[in-house]
Amino acid sequence: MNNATEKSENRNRYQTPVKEPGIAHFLFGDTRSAPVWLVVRVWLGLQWVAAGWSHLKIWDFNNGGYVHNGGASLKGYWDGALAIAPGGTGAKITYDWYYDFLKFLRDGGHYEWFAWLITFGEIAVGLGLIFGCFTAVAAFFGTIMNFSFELAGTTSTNPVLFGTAILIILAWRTAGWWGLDRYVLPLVGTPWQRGKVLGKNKKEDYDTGNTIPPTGGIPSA
Amino acid sequence: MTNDMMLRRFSTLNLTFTGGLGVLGGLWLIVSPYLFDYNNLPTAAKFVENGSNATLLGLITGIITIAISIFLIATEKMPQMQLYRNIGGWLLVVMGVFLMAAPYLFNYSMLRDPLWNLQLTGAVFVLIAGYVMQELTLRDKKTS
Repeated sequence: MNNATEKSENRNRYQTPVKEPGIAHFLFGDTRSAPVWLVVRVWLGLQWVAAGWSHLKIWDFNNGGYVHNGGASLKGYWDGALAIAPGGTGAKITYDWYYDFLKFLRDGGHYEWFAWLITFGEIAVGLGLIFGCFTAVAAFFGTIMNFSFELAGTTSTNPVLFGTAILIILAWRTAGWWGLDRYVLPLVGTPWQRGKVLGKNKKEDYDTGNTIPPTGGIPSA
Repeated sequence: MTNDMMLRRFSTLNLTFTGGLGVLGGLWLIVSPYLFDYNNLPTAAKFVENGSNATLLGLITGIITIAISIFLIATEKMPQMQLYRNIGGWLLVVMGVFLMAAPYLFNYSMLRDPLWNLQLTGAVFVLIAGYVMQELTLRDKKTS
C-alpha cells in the first residue's frame, strides 16, 4: 500500500459519522462563497486600518496617536490598565501573569517600540484582510491583538472583531478567493501541500494532491 | 439545505435582475441621506461638514449606480454588448466595496447613520452583483 492510499484509508476510518451541513461546506470549502467573505474581509480590514491609522497620526502634534511622543499615549493606556492589581476593586486585568507581563513592558520603557509594533501590526492586518493576501494569517494576528486588548481590560469592539476573525480563519481556503490568496497560496503552498515556488513539483505530487495545481483548483484524479 | 439547493434558489438571478436591483440601490443612495437627515445629525458641529460630504457622495454614487444599472437592463437583448454588460456587473461589485470603504476614506466613520447605511448598502451590492457575476463567469467557463 502506498503512502497516499494509506492516508486516504486512515482519513475514512477515523472520520466522524456526523456529516457536515451543506452550509458549512459552502462557506468553508466552496469558492462560490467568495462574495460573502469579500464583504466580511473588507469590513474587518477597514476596522483594523482605521484603528492603525488613528494610532499613527505622527503629523498631529496636539492629538497624536500611540507612536507620537515616544509612545506616551500607549504608556498612558498601560498605566490605566496597571493602576489596580488583579483581585483589587475595579481592577482592569484579571490574570496575574498578564499584569506582570504588561508591567515588565511598561517599566522597561518598551512602550516606545511597542507603539510602532501595534500601529503597523494593525495596518498590516487590515491591508492583508482587505486585499485578501495571507488572509487567515492576517486574521490570526488580528485575533492575537484582540485577545491582548481584552486581557488588558478593554472590551470595546474586540469581541466582535475576534469572532469575525475566527470565522475568516476557518474559511482560510475560500476567504481570499476573491483576493490575492487565489494566486499567492498556489505559489507559496502550505506545509502539507507544496506550492509552485517553494518545493519542487513532481507529477506524482499533482496526482496525489500533494501539490496545489497551477490553476488553484482541486487536482484531477 | 444542501449546497445545490441553495445554488438553484439563486439561479434565476441574472444581470437584468441585478440592474433592476441596482436602480433601487442607486435611488436609495440618493434618497437615504435625506431620510436619515445627514446634515442635521446629533453630533458635534465639526462633523456637520462630513455629513454634507456623505450626502454628496450618496448623490454621486447613486447616479453612477443607476446609470450602470439602466445600461444592464437596456442591453439585455444585445448579445454583442455582453462584454460590456459583464464589465458593468463587475463595476457594481467594485462600487459595493467602495461604498463600504467610503466612510473611512472621506473621514465620516464617526457618523453612525452614514457609516451603517453605506456599509450595509455596499455589502448588499457586493453580495448580489458578486454572486451573479460569479455564476455567469462559471457558466461561461463551462460552455466555452
